[in-house]
Amino acid sequence: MTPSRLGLLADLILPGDAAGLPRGSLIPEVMLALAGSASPIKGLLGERFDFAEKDLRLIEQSHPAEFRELVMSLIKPYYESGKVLEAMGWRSAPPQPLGHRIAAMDEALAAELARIAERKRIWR
Amino acid sequence: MTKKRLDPVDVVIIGAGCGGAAFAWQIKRDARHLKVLCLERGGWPDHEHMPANGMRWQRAILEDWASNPNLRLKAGQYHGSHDHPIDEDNSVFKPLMWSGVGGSTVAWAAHFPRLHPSDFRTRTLDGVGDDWPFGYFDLEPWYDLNDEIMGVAGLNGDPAYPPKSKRAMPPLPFGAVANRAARAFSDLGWHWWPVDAAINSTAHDGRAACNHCGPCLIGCIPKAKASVDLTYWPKATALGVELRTSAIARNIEIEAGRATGVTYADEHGKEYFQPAQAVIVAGNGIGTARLLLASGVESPALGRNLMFHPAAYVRGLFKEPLDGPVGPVGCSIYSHEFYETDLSRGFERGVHLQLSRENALLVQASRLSPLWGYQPQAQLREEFLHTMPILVLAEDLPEAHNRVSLTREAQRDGLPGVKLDYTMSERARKSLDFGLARAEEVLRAAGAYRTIRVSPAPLTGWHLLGTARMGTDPETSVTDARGRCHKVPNILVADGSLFPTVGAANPASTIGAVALKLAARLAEDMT
Ligand SMILES: Cc1cc2nc3c(=O)[nH]c(=O)nc-3n(C[C@H](O)[C@H](O)[C@H](O)COP(=O)(O)OP(=O)(O)OC[C@H]3O[C@@H](n4cnc5c(N)ncnc54)[C@H](O)[C@@H]3O)c2cc1C
Ligand code: SF4
Repeated sequence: MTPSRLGLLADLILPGDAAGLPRGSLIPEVMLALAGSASPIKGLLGERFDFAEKDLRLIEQSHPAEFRELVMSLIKPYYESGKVLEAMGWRSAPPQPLGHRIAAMDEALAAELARIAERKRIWR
Repeated sequence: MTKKRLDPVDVVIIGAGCGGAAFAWQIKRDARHLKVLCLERGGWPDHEHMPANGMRWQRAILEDWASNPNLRLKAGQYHGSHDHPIDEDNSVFKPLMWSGVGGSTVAWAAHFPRLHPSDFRTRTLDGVGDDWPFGYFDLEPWYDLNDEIMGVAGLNGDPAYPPKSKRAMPPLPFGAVANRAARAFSDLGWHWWPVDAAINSTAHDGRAACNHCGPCLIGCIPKAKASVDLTYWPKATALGVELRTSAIARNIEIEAGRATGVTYADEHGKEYFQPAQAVIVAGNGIGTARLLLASGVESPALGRNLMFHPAAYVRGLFKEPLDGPVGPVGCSIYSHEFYETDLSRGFERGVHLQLSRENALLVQASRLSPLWGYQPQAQLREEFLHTMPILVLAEDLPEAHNRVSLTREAQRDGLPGVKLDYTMSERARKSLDFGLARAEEVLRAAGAYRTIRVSPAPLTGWHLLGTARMGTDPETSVTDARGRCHKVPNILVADGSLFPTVGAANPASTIGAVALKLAARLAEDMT
């Protein structure tokens, strides 16, 4: 497949949104995964001059397992990308070593706990 | 193949997980003169190189650090868990476990509840299941000791339990989701309480405090989460227990109704015969049944009565932002308002409700249907950082047709293949539906504008229990109250397989406590 058609495929699978979520073709790791993929779906699309979402749906119906595998192989680098994580309101740094700040128990809940503790036992 | 005969030991333990580790420490502590050896099929977990500090951490949850061994095998990489395939097609719930030093506690969520006293007496109290051969208060000192070694963050005073020993650390912080959920439980007048967590809320026992990074199931780099490779094993080896890794027990040799030792293979497949006076099997509900069946231990109950805790979720969607995938995934607040039997609900026994946390972005994206195009991305926009999941665990009861059995296929580890057959009972389904309806009430009270049920949730086979159950009748149980196999009394079981019934709460605290109790008794017998 030509680079432009690989880009089209990436964008149909991961179209992004107007609020800043990038299209699939803008994520280099997605394009690398797609270029390196030996998925038979690429072969099926390669025979066509052009394709659109409805064509992909038909191929998905006729080759569900292979299609799913290709989609998963793109979704993974896409949602791992710092750009995408940040566009979704998350941070790009991994969980460690920074960890996360998390709110303490609301002070008002201490009174609730005291009230619950005064309940008669609820075990048998 | 000729196998090398090794110097005899007094006690050989198979499996360095939750039950095996506690057993090893306790027996050596009580009977220093005994030679105690543990054989573990996997290696030591490498906490420095766990995935949470790299950009591939989300993918690890789906692939090489997935909780399900078949998914890990599919990902094709060996990262510490020495897996074998499991035929799980005929099981609603897929088995989740970890095979290496620490066992499934390497991958667990470290929610550490005890069973209720009633859980040990379901036959007497509710006419279902079977009574345990001992009760909560017999186990209480061992619960206390296990809590001490594991290190528990929590809050005393919970009316859902008899008073417990002082919790070593204050509860973990709540985050936005737990603050909101707690208020909702209170508004409904329902019980809630901070969970007992085997996670450091402050530095404790030489391990750091949790920094709320989120993905506990792919291992804890700061070692804040207690796993038995960090808690029991250093103490057990310091006492002189020997732990042999990459040692797959293939057969327990039995002569004239007594075990003489264990045949195991090293990482090159070379076999050894390890003679021992007593063989302790702690391979979890699947591994224990597999080895005992493969070794020809006879019992009509062996492999049967597999119990998981049927599980389902309700996810609530909120307009306001919540805090998403931060904080220990399984450890915030829980409710036992509906834990005890109330027959007006239409079923015996009860449900455990537990606030969970949002999945990582990639994990959420990979579970959408359809998986690609505008719709799933729009859905993720709506849901990510705006959901609150509540987990419902129902009590499973023993049913002989739910089972672990051997297949005819030999596996690469030299043991027969293993298969699960598990269907959920009508009673369990009713309990789950009841629990889901209560979870929906909480979520609405918390302000959710929509709720989504995931029921049953297949990737929740965390608890593998009951397949070598304790009891008094050899027709319906595999071991006696001391964990000794009825037919071969110097083979003991010391893990979750022993549970005659399972309550509706997570099992590891009870597995550890039972293992300590049985080890103390065997130490007495061998002294
Ligand atoms: C993802 C996940 C989350 C969980 N969360 C919680 C939680 O929050 N709270 C809770 O209470 N429980 C939780 N659990 C369950 C808990 O971890 C298990 O119930 C507990 O660890 C089981 O203890 P065990 O001793 O029966 O088996 P394990 O801890 O699984 O140990 C069994 C060991 O035996 C070894 N073994 C098996 N066969 C052989 C053989 N033939 N030769 C040598 N070695 C062998 C295995 O490699 C393994 O290391 C969770 C589990 C998972 C997987
Ligand atoms: S959330 Fe806490 S306990 Fe869980 S992995 Fe992160 S640091 Fe460890």
